[in-house]
Amino acid sequence: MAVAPRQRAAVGAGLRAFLRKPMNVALLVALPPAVIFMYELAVDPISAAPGIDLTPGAADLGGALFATAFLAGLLGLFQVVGTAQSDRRLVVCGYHPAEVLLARLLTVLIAGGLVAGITFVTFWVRTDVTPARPLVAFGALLGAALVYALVGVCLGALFGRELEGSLVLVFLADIDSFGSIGVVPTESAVLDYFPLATPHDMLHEAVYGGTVSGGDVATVLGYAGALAVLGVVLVAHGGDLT
Amino acid sequence: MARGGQSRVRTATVVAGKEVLRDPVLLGLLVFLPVYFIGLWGWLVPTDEVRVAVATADGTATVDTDLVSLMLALMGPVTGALLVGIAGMFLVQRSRGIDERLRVVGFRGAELLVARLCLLAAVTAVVVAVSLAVTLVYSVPEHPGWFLLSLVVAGATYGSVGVLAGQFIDRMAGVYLLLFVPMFDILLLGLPLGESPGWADWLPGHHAAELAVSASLSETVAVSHAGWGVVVVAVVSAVALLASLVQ
Repeated sequence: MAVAPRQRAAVGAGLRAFLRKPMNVALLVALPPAVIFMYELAVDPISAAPGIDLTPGAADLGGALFATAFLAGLLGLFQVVGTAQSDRRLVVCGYHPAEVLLARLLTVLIAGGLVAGITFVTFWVRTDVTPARPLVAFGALLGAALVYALVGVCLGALFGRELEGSLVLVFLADIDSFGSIGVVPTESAVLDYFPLATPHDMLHEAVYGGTVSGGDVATVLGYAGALAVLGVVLVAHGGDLT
Repeated sequence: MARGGQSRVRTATVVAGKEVLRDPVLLGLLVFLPVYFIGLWGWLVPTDEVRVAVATADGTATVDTDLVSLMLALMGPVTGALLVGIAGMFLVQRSRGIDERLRVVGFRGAELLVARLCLLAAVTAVVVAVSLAVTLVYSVPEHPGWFLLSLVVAGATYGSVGVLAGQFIDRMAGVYLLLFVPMFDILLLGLPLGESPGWADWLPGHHAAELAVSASLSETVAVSHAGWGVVVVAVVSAVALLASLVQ
């Protein structure tokens, strides 16, 4: 069989396995509106407090980014750890390890894109915020999903176990989501290097300014590229597919 | 519990404990993650003055404090809730294979769950000790003993929630739940910077968060939150036990 049909078959099988579980479908459909709604409830009262300088719509933007990024991250992590055994079987059946790895990454990225799409529709329909540049706003969410999906892939390849990977992902996402919306005013530049910082700036600009910065796009793509390379090295070095 | 039952609980706890001790990565994370999480916030947050409404022994009082003390009052409890909650869920799910074998040789479901709760208590002790130590580096609570209790209550509450969730929900949904709910319940709604909705008082981590803030910032501690927090732990643990019996 040629490479392209084999990739289609492997990616299709991965996506079907994910969507076959009712709980996964429920997560995809129910989580974005629930997270955005709960962020509004919790963050709006804080924004009125003296000394707290939250940007307009911080709750909606923060909720949308969190819903997209963390679910994509979990998808990346659980795909890598959960499919390690079946991927080894594919290699035994004649797939090249690089093909299997590419199929694994494509599955995660397509599922991440699905998460970003559902969150974007929810964000547009459910909140009072109307993005000035809808496509760029969707691109920002897609960037958040892409980066976190690859963070999940790296953690899955590094730890090889769901518990340890989940714990690290949870603590990264918690600090990242809380820091990116600016609930805590800090002058430190450390939070600017966290994965959600640039997608948040992109989303904010797309929604309120109607602009897109080439530098931000390059940063997100660079971040994703570096994580993709790291993920490939970790998976290959971990010996999952050999 | 009869002597045979106690012996079986001890055996199941030792078996599961050895599984954890054989996992140095997990043990390392239980120590490292509180240091990273609380330490990073302690380092990042400025020492700006802030005025907050805090529960005291005599009702609510307005207290002037700094952002570091305020944030770290809640970072310890949320760290305990996240780590112990997720560990609890995975302990239940990872030990299913072992539990099935132990059932075959006569162990009861409730005994196995009690064993898991004992192991989770040990995990809670490690996480609480590290969280308290890191918090003290940046900010000393007004009442360290009560603050320690708030960490234990937060960890135990979400540990029991994790054990309960582990019996019904698959891992990915469970991790999502056990990240989002403690963050929402303890950190976002627990920050005394705005008016929380009334129903927030019924969330599982509410009393632990109120106790933590009161113990950290108030001259007199709102002890009632300690009592209610212990009640929440007892209720959620009982529901988890009941669920295991029904299953």
